[in-house]
Parts: sequence; structure tokens; C-alpha cells
Amino acid sequence: MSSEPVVVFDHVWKRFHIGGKRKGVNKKGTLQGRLQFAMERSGLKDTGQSGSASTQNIWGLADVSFDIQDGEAVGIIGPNGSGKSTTLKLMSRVTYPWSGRVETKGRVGSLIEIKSGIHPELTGRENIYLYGTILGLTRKDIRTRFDEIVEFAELGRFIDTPVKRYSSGMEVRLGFSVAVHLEPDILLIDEVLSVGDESFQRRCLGRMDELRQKGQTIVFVSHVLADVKRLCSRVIYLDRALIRADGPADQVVELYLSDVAAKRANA
Amino acid sequence: MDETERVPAPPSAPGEASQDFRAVSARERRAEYVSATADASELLTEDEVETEIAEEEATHRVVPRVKPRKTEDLDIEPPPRQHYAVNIRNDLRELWAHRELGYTLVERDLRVRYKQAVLGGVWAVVQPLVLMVLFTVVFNKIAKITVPGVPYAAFSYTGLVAWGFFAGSIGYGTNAVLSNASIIRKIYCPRELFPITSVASSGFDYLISLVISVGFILFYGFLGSRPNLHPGITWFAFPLVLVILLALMTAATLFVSAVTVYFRDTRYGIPLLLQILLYGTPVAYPMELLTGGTVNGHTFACPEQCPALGAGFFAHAYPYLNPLAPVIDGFHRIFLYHEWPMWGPLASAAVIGFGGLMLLYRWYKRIDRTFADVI
Repeated sequence: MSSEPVVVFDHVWKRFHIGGKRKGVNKKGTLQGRLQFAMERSGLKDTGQSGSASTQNIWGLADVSFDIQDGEAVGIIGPNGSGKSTTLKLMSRVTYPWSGRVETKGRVGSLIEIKSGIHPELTGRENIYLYGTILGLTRKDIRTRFDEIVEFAELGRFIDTPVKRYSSGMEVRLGFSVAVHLEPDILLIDEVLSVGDESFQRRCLGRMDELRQKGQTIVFVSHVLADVKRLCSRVIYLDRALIRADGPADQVVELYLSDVAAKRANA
Repeated sequence: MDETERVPAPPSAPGEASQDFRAVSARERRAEYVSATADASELLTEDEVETEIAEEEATHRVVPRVKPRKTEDLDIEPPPRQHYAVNIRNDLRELWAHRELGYTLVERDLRVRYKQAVLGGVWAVVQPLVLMVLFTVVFNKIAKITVPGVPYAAFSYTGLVAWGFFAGSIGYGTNAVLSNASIIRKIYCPRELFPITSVASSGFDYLISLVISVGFILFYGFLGSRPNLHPGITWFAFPLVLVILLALMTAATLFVSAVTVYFRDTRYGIPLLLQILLYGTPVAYPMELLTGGTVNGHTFACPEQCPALGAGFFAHAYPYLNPLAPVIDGFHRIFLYHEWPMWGPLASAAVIGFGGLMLLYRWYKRIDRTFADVI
């Protein structure tokens, strides 16, 4: 394992606004209240009122620190709402921490929910270019890999059909095929392997293994623990905004399973 | 504040935590903890550590280093909010690095806009043409507004084409960030790309209409042998006026696209404002009708043609206060009268345009970090 971390999370806190009542008077009804409210949210002004009102804000991540070395494949697991996707979003700079430091080295590519970026009115071909550039490929990259992408997606003669006429499986295959041909320095995967039919899923996992063998740094968020264990050597287990455990995949997954079992026993 | 409920400070230096993930024994971790934390009540008790050690030895399990904390506890002592500095140079460099995405987004907008319309790109020409016919009927035929030496249709079309560029950009820009919400929520790219894309895709429509409008002017010029409608030296001022218009509209588009993220009211307010601005700007009537003065050798003055703003302060200040006025008026002058734009007001428009663009871009970069959380 090399010594250079490619992802650094240093005491990262992330706060989310969840709405709900302000302490005391609800001023959202008045224009002044709304203005103040929007200013706070946009970060233009901190009136100090929001800091203590725990009904309004929750911590999505609290004091999370870890680093990821070059070539590591790290899984992130945890129950819903524990901060897994937030962690990925912070890595890809979609969102910024409330406090703390997030650093990444090299190009970050996200393999995320396919729907974003694909436009139903455009054809498969046009969408490959659109989605590819949104994900960070250059047009030249796409042109050279175009046939490969179409073949992987098994779209064949539907390539010039508007995507709105695709079956949902085809649409997902299209997006995913573009995404797996990304070659970023850090690949973020958020819960997308559970798409498509059996054979497509197997091909996707095969492609992941291939990337893994090439030494691709991967951060993988999933609820499918078998996939996590297969792909990742190290797993970070998040629970309600905090790191519960960070270590070898088998052990952390085991801890997670025992926590789940304990929770079920309590309920 | 209850001391015992306080969240313990993390014991290790940044980065250290993850490097020793291989499994440090619970006893070592406790020792580390005791040295780092003053208040012993925050630590796992001796018994809990014993249990953990037993468990760990049995399973080689990685156990948490601290008592599980509840998120409700966290608000007791949250860290202060971090403030991010805006680095315009970096932002511009990044914007440039994403230019290909910009092209692709413009292409997408244009394709989507005209894909299922039978007339396709023809709509880009039809819109200002219809407005021109409407204005010709209302202003020229009914309200009897005339422009000396220039057919009213050519006059209003020249103004309306530029106006369409401005209004189109702001119209698309109002929804630019919102309609790309699914991208913004998931993938990073410079967020100013979306309003800039609106300017560019409106610019595409403008290019088509501009060619038509120049053809229109030349058609009138040569057919009606009006020398002031022939190509002239003043046409060279066009790029200058255009750049000022671009600065103004980019600034305005950045502004409305960001405001819409927080207030959806703009969707109703902006079209209304644009409507007001269209009539409040000399697009379809000569500026001199408002402020007085001489156009193409004809003087607008009382008692026959009194300027709407009189002859006082407002008449003089107006071209400086409405930055769009000298720009649109500039297009009229250079294309239709062989006159240079009004330099003073145009300079003021340039200052407002570029100054506003710089300030608004800074502002935009300051708030666009929160778009994904708010949108």
C-alpha cells in the first residue's frame, strides 16, 4: 500500500436542513422571515438562530475522519440515512462540509443514479455524448470508446431511438455503460450495481473486478454486503452520521450484521 | 450544559485514525483515550472495555473506539461553520476546463428545444418577426410613431432581435439551475455553466435572427435606395456594443438563475419585469421620443413631439440609468442612421455590465456550494 492518501477526510461535519419549526415564532410566513431564512440557507448570513434549533438541522456527518490510499477499494455501509451518500457527495464536491477538510487527489468520477443527466427526448447516441461529458469524459474519449459503450449496453439498432421509447432496463444499461467506461483516478459508486437483469449485473461486477485489478481506487456504497465484501478489502461502517467502525471488510461487515441482528432483537 | 453529555474530542491527529484500522486492541485505544481526554466519564468504562476485549479476542472484530453517540448529542457543541474563500482565478480556470461540457449542454438545449417542433429552428426567426409585425401595427399604424428616414419595420426588427437575445437568455436562465437539479444534486461541475449555457443557447437564436435582420436592412436600403441603410463604417462598432450587451445579460442571467434556487417567485416575477423593461427601453421606438434630441437629422422637441421624460434631469439621466437603453439604441444608430452610439451612456452601460458581472460572479461562486443542499 502506498503512503499517499488520495482521499482525506479530516474531522468532517456536514449539517442538513430538514425544515420544521423554528424555535419560538415561525417567521416563514412573513416576507422578512423568508428572506432571513433564505439568507441563512444560502450562507450569506448566519443569524445565530439556526445553531441551536435541532428541530431544523441534523448532522449528516459528524466528526468523520479517514483517508483512502491510492489503489484501495473501500466500501461504505450503514443503515439508511447514516451518511453514506453524503460522504460520496463530499468527495465529488457536489456539496461542501459544514466544517472540516475534504481533500481528493486526481480526477474523481461518480457512478451514480443513472437518471441524472440523461434526457428522454434525445436519442441513445446523443445521450451517450451528453451523459459522458457530464461525467467528465471528453468528446474524444467518448468517440473512441463509442462502439465499446454501445456493445456493453447491448443497444444495437436502438441507438438512434429517443431514450423515452426505451424500456427502463435499456435506459439503465445505457447510463451505466457510459459510466463504467470512465477512467478516473478515484471512482465513486453509489448503489447502482443493483440495476439491470442478472446477466447485466454480472457483467458490471466483472467490469468492476477488472478495474480493481488494474489498481483503480474505488469507493463503493451499497447495501448488498456480498458485493461490498467481494469488491472491497476495507469497509467503513457509518451509523447515524458517525463512523462506527473502519477496518477489514469481513470484520466490519460482521459487526454491521450483528448490529442489525441486535436491533431486530430489541424491536 | 451537562458536562457528561459532552461529545468527546477525537483522540488522534487528523489522518491517524484510519491508518491504524487494522485493529488496535481495545486496551491500547483506551490508553490513548485517557491521555487525550480529561473527563473520564466520556470513556468506555473498565467493564465495557473488558467485555470488548473479550469480544474482540473471540472474533477479531473491529470495535468502535468511543461510546456510540447519538446525533442529538452532537448539537451540544457543534463546530463553527467553516467559511470558504472565493478564488476567482481558480474558478475561471475550472470553468474553462469544463468548456466541453458547456458545448454539450448548449447542444442538448438546442436539440431538445427544437426536436419535436415541426418548424424547428424556424421558431428562432418567427418569434421576433411576429413581434415586429405586432409592434408595426400598434406603434406605427395605430400610435403613429415614425422614425425619420427608416421604415418602422426595419427599425423595430433591429431592436427586437437584440431584445430577444437578452430576454431569451434571462428567460432560459430563470430555470437553468433548477431544470438541471438532477445533475447538480449528483455530479460536480461549475454551477455557473448552466446560466452561461442559457446565454449561449439564446445566442444561437440571436445569430439566426441577426442575419435575417441585416438582410432586412440591406433589402430596404438597396430596394428603397436609402443610403443610411447601406453598409457603413459604423457597422464596425457592432462587436463593441454586442460585448457590452453580453456582459449585461450574463450578469442578469447569473443573478436570476441563482435567485430561483431560493425563491421560485422569479418564475412569475421575471417575465413581468421583462415585459415592463421591453416597453421602458427604446426597443421599438427611438430613444429621442423619451429624452429628446436629434435622430437622423430630425429633431424631437416641443411643441410638436414633446419627449416623454421632458427636458429635465430624468431626460438626461435616463440613458445612464437604464444600461440596456444605450445598447439597443446603439444597434439602431450603427445599423440604421450611420451614427456612432452615444458614447457616454454606453460607457456607463459597460461599467454596469462588467462591474455587475464581476460582483455577481463572485456572489454566485460564494453561494453555489450550497445549491446541491438547497435545490
